[in-house]
Amino acid sequence: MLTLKEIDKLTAEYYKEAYSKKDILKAWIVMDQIKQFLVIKAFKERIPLSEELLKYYSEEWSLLYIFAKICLLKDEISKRTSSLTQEWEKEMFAEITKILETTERLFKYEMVDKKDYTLKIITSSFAGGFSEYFIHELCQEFFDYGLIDDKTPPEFRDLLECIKLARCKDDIILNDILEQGKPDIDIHIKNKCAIFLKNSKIESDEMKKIWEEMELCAKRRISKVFYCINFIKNIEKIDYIRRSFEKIRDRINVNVNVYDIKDLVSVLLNELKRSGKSKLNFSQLDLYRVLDY
Amino acid sequence: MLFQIFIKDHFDEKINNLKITYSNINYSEKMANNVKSILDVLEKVGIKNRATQSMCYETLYKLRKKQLHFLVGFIFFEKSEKKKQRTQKLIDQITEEMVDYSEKSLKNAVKFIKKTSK
Repeated sequence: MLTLKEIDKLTAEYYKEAYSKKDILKAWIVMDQIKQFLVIKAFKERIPLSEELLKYYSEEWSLLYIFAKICLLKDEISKRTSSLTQEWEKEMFAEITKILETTERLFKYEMVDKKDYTLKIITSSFAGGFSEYFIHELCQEFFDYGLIDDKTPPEFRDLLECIKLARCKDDIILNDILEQGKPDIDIHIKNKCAIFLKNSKIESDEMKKIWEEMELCAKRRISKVFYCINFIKNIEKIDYIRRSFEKIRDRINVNVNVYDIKDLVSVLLNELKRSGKSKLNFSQLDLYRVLDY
Repeated sequence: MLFQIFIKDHFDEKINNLKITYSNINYSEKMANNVKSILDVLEKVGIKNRATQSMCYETLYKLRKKQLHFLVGFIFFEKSEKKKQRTQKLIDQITEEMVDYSEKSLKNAVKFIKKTSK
């Protein structure tokens, strides 16, 4: 009962930002809080969530995402139009701006403040590869400087202890291949744990791979496994993923924890900041965008 | 308890099945006023029934949510700027109320659970 009321509270905030204040980027942040809440309820408290409810938020997020991209593209094209020298180019850009304006009106949102956002062209696999590399770097930094004490976030304590108690920095290995022909371990902390990162949509193929990874870990006696999933791409799959991991826990005797990639990055950055070693000179929000959030 | 059964029978199902259109938006507002009257009665009589209060606020939230979706669609198809502006004011008011109702619904439910678990 309380879970649904808490979701209502967050959703009301979302509606206020999206339809009253028309701050789409803020609405996006609230949508992310809703996702975070749903993940906690599903994986920490193991509360089943209805497919209909999850689908609603997933679709709402997709619409926001595409709408924001169209707005930013329109803005960029209209800004560049004035610098063009040839008449036909100017006409073409003006025409595209008009078309995008019409497209923008197809959505039920409005974007009042575009701040200083910009669109970038990167390959679809970049976010996945980059998040593995970046989290691996953060783990090594945490090994060197991180603190384990009473302020350590309890839900991440197990993982942070594995990192901190690694024998040496080189024991934190990126893309470790234990057996040829088997899946690699995205971040392997030797004799401690395995961390797998899933930045794409989790369909049945990916779930099959997760089973293989878990079987590999069981075979190699890796007793702790941490899965970090991009849940913003998987909102409608939260309950499917929860049920799948329940099955895995029943069949394979390995201790497995599931987190959102963004939460892990956020905890690692905050913990490094707490130890006085954070060197970020860009906003965490920008970083999450690069990680495909 | 009787209040809760009454709300469930008279409003909950009706709201769940309600599809708000231009012709029945006043009917939905009448329903909202009825629920507000129940809240008024509870307050005036001095009954602190947290579960019922939470249920009433949740009912109001659900009604406002349905109204909001209708109005957002209305603005989308409406040509007249004047009507659009008027509807936007209504949307602003409704979203404010939704924040308020959802908070009160949650707050009362938390208090009810705390009280019953003692």
